[in-house]
Amino acid sequence: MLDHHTIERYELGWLVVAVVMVLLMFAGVIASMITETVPGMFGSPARYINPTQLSQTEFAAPGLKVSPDGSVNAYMVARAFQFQPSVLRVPANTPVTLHFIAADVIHGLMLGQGNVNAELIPGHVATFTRTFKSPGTFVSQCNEYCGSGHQTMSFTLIVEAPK
Amino acid sequence: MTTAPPPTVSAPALPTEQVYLGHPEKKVTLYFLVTGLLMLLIGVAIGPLQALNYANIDVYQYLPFLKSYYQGLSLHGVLNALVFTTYFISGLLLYLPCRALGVRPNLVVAWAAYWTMTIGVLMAAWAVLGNNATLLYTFYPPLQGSPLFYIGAALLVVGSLIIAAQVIVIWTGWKRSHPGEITPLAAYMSVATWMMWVIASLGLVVEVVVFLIPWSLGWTKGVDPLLARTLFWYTGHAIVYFWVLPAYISWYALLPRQAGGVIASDSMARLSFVLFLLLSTPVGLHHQYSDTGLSIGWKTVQMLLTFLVVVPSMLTAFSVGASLELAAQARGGGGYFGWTRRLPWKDPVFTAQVLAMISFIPGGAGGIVNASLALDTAVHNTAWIPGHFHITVGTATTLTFFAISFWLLPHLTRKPLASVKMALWSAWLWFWGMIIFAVGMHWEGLIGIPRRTYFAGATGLSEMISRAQVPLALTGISGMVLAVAAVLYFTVIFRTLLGRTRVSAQAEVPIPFSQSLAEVEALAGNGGSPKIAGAVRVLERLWVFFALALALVMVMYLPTFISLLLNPHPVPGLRLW
Repeated sequence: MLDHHTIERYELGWLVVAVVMVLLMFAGVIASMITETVPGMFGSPARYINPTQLSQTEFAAPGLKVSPDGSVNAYMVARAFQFQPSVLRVPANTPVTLHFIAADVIHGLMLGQGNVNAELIPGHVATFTRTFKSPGTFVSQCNEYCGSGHQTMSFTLIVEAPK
Repeated sequence: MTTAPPPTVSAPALPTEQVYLGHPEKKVTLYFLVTGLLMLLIGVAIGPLQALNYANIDVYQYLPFLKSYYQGLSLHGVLNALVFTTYFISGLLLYLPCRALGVRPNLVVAWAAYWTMTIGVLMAAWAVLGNNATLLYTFYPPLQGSPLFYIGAALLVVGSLIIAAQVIVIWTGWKRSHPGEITPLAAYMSVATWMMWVIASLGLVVEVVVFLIPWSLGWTKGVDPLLARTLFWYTGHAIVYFWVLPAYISWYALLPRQAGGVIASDSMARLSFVLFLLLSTPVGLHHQYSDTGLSIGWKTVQMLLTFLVVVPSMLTAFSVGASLELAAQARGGGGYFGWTRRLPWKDPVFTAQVLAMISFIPGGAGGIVNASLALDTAVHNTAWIPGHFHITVGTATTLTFFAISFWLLPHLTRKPLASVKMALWSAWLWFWGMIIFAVGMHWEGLIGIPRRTYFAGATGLSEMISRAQVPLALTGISGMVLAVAAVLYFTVIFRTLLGRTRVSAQAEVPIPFSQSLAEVEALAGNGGSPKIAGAVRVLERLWVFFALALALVMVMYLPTFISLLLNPHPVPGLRLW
């Protein structure tokens, strides 16, 4: 049978293994953050708009907007119990910036294969820039409980081949 | 049980007062434990309905007393995660340290804590049962519930803090009257846990008392939802350590003796609790990786701290594993794995705890995924998350509490456990039910199935559901397995509590405080007490670590709170259910 000194020596070795493992995991996540596996993690400025005054902002008329310089922005408003617009069509192979805002309570959204997962906290704009490579459809259910109609609230993103 | 001789039944049954004679704190402890278990009974009864929801079977339409899936989910989450745990832990972590230190608690204070909690729970239950607080377990504003719910929740926490203060005061008094002595392990760990909870509960207390109660009463017009979420998760992650550390106390300080062995390493056990005291709280931001409006820098720093919690968890796995191996060797076991056969698997107290530990291995691994800023994106708000916490708090903690109830209720009441066999079955079925549940839920989460969704009415899920048929069926089946486990468990508990035979004082189930290997070696060597390692003397100064923990939390959280408070964005409350 082992005496307590030997066990404690082994345990100290185990402690070192645990610390090294933690540092490696941390380095791994930092690497994936720097390489932008998850869009919008760095560089998207924190922006707050009073959710009761959306009519004076670009969220007044939600939907896709193509600027004269060719940049593509889409503005979505989440409110109980729908996304406006509930279906968004975007072109493939073009950088698109998606802006989401919640107008009343907290909502949420996940575009699974697009690595987008956002808590939409009233007034705080969530922004993601992404180039969708191929045509396809993403459907997101609202993923933060928002009341009795929560399950009827969904958002569809359709990526279309350029005409 | 393992150590008690065959119980000698005294006839006629002893009057109750005599059972508590010598240790009147047994009665208040029993009240805490049994009230907690009654709350669990209600919470668990709703569980199968939630599981069937995932299998797309809607039972809610047939239930007149529950208005919606979300009301059921609110009850399930609040009762199981908040109410059951708080009662059970308050009872256990009052009784254990007092007995370990040989000090009787002030019973007036203990009962005051019990009634504070109970009045609070009745208020909150009134609100939830009346569908006036269908807010789920997280009660995020601006969804606004009845003031009764928030006041009740605050009283529940205040009750637990009264016990925390009492245990810490008792310990400091013991230190004064025992200069130079080292606190017994079970008491040391209990005090460290309560100190952690004192720091950790601050967020919830401030959120509810300063913001939500005045707002729900109509005294203030709005609440900043981001500030409220940040306060909630300040407590919301640390609370999981408040749930799991009492299980660790049982694994470290009681299980070795229950298995027939000793504590492998006393000093490492203390070190791991000090690490939990330091690291449990300044990590809550990892629940908010997807929140806009918080700095990525602080999220990253708290990610590192969250990862560091892996260290004391790994220490626990090593120490407890070594203790079990020593126990098996003492029973004649050997080999690399062969020793496991020599453990007392027929004892539900032992088996339930080992199954709890096994569930915690995948539970901890999944937790690392949740704590990773990048990987969290794939699982945040999906079914993966409830899959994760059902094998952590739902199994590691709950199954350990089952094991504790199997010896502690007989200890407190002197009534023998009604059926060892049924207790054993309930533990195995609970374990397998939760494993099946977790496999289903983690799998669904990776497909993208959201959590907290009433499937019967869902509009955006059909494509995902078609890809998730197998895991969704697993979730449904697991609910049925767990229902059977729960029926068996509560049958054993109520048959025990309502039993009429009591054993004599000599045959009372003992409190299984374990000896450490170092102590045993010292006794075998020269009959003296073991030399106390310098590290243990340093770790003994818990107030210093309490202060350090507080300082670390301030560094990790104050900048975020200050910036949120300087730029408040209050919005009005809404009732949308």
